[in-house]
Amino acid sequence: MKKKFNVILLCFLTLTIVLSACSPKTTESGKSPQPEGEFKEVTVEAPDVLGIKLTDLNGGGTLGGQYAGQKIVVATRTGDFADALKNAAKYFEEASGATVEIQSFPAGNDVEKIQLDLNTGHHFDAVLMPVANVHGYAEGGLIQDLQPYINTIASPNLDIDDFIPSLWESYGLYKGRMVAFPYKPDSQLFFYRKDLFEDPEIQKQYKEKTGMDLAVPTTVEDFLTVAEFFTQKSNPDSPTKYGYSSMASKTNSRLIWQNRLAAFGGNDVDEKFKPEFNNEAGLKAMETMLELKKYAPAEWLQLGWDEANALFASGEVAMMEQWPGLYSTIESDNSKVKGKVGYGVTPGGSPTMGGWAIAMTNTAKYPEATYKFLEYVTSKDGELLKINNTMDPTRTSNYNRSEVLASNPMYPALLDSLSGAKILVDPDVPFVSAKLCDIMENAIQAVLREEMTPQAALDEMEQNFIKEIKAVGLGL
Amino acid sequence: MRKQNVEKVILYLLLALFVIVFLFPIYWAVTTSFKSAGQIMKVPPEFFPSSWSLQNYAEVFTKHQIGTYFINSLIVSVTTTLCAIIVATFAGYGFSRFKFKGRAFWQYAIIVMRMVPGLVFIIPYYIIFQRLGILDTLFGLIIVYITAALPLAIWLFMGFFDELPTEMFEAAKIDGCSEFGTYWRIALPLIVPGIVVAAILVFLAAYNEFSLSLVLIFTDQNKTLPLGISGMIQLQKDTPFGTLAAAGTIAFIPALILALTTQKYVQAGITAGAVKG
Repeated sequence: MKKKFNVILLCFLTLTIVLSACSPKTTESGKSPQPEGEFKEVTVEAPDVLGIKLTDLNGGGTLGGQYAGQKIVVATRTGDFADALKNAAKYFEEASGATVEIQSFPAGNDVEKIQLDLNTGHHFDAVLMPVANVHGYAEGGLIQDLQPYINTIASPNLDIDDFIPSLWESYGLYKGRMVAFPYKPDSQLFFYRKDLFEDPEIQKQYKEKTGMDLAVPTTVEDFLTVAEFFTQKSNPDSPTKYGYSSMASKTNSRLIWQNRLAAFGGNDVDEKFKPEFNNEAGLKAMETMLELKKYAPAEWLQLGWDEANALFASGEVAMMEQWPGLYSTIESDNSKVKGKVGYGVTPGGSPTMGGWAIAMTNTAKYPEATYKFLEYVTSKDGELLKINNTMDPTRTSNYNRSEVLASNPMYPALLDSLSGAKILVDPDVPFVSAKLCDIMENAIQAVLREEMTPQAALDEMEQNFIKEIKAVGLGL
Repeated sequence: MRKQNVEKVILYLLLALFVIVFLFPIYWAVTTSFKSAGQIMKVPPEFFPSSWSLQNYAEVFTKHQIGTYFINSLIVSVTTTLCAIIVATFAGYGFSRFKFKGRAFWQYAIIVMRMVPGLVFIIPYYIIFQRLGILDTLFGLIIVYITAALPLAIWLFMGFFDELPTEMFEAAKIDGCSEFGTYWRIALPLIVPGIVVAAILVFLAAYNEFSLSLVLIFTDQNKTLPLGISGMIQLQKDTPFGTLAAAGTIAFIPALILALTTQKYVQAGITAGAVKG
């Protein structure tokens, strides 16, 4: 019996020693660690980007190796987001002395992983995530107000007014607090077959049929007229089979409605989280969506990202509303519309906005170094370090650089779209944003499948919005 | 005679159908991995590639660190399999051979653990591992996978050992064999087919596991294949079918080797333990 007890005791002691050896080293908490390295003026050299020489890679002279020995961990999604951060991080490391580790997680699982860590693990010093998520973190008190850092250690070249105003307000600010820097802008764009719109023969046919000149539609009325003209079902002479297309499969279809909602003066929720769509604007947006269905492909409701883009690239569609990522499909060698596409703002002038912002967590181990990293990757020159990873600029000055504008034919349209955008693709309601998206998707799908009238769908959507928002104790 | 021929034809037709259903996706993935982007999107599709390219393989190795993911997956799966099989054979042998107080309770307690969905454990694991400092380590992942594999493996081995005749153990005892000697020299060699089947099941479960590794692993250098491959898909960008097919083909290699080398044991192992001797 005694022998048995001794064996158990020995096992217990061994386990205790092993586990103690595995425990993380405790750090002094409570105080923000101060820079350890000595400040020395540094010059950071980077290859020219788009032929532009980058001259401000030392944070306007505020970075001089003073953060040596400090490590910051940034969490984001795998792919372009992580690659872009890694590319910019190496120049920041050279300038600041700090080490940056980018940790990335697969799309579709990143939200849960990062949320779990923000609540319990506290590994991350900064997070780069979609705006709705970042604002959720702000509401939950998981990320810091950046204003105190801007007041004390900002680069002299920060120039906040340079951010596109709509992005600064919708991405960076939350309930009046400055919680994040805009990082990647995103907006629905209008893609149209430039070659067809510029064809004199087609222009003549259009004039004969409608009595109007063929032009890229900017109003909803013109949009529907042009879509009808380019649909073979309603116009057998049309050079394209379908006048209009977009992604109408579940998880994407709300965009068709959202792209018109703001154009008619509606909104998803107001600043107190009260639904603002069950009105004339919401109804007209629904009715427009049903009109568009007449000119859309038969398999429209099955079209996700790959399918919708492939259909447009096949040349069967005259106009499409899509995220900027369609550009790479259009310009690929397999595309039948390569070099034939023009870019504009979605008809009505208020496209739906996506977008990503970068923020500092409340548990950042080195807040100063972390703030400087955030500032660095969103600075005027810092933005160019990640432009080749599809991270489009968020600053007006970068769109004003002729080299940047020339690098991507979509940029003028993107800038105009971002300036006119009002609604975020995921409602900016903390904690329940994903649920509200589902509610919208269910209602839109029911209308598109003609299982529900537009008004009934709006009523149901409003009720469900109120229920979910109330459940988390927000607004109303 | 004629009736037998008809039956044979039907049987072969059915077998051919099954072969097509099971092997065609693999054929398609492998050939896609050698196609260019243009060939992949071609309509009508190319069932046999008109030209072969290694571009997708070059991309998965240079852009995506597939080599690191592959090695990590092998380390985790092989270690998990070895540890789980060792522990499970001991436990299975013990439950099968010894009658002790609470035996039935512990047997059912083990299988109940198998019935609890793995996701329930994620947050407790996360918190415990964080405290222990083994988050984002392959060691942590191995512990979790062993824990998940043990219930089923123990029950499988209980069945395998139960099938062995009691007289054989009694004879060994009379001849002076120790209990460990009986386990090692007599029982274990007789259940090799069972060990192979259990090892395949444990290996594949660890090799393909995604949810737990997603939560417990943070850095690229510790990611396993399912986690690394899922990171190749980006929203709002065209799906990289070629790269995914190349990564899938590489990931498929260990499963193929296992299938080819252990085939002779599998049939015997599947039926072993079904009937108590």
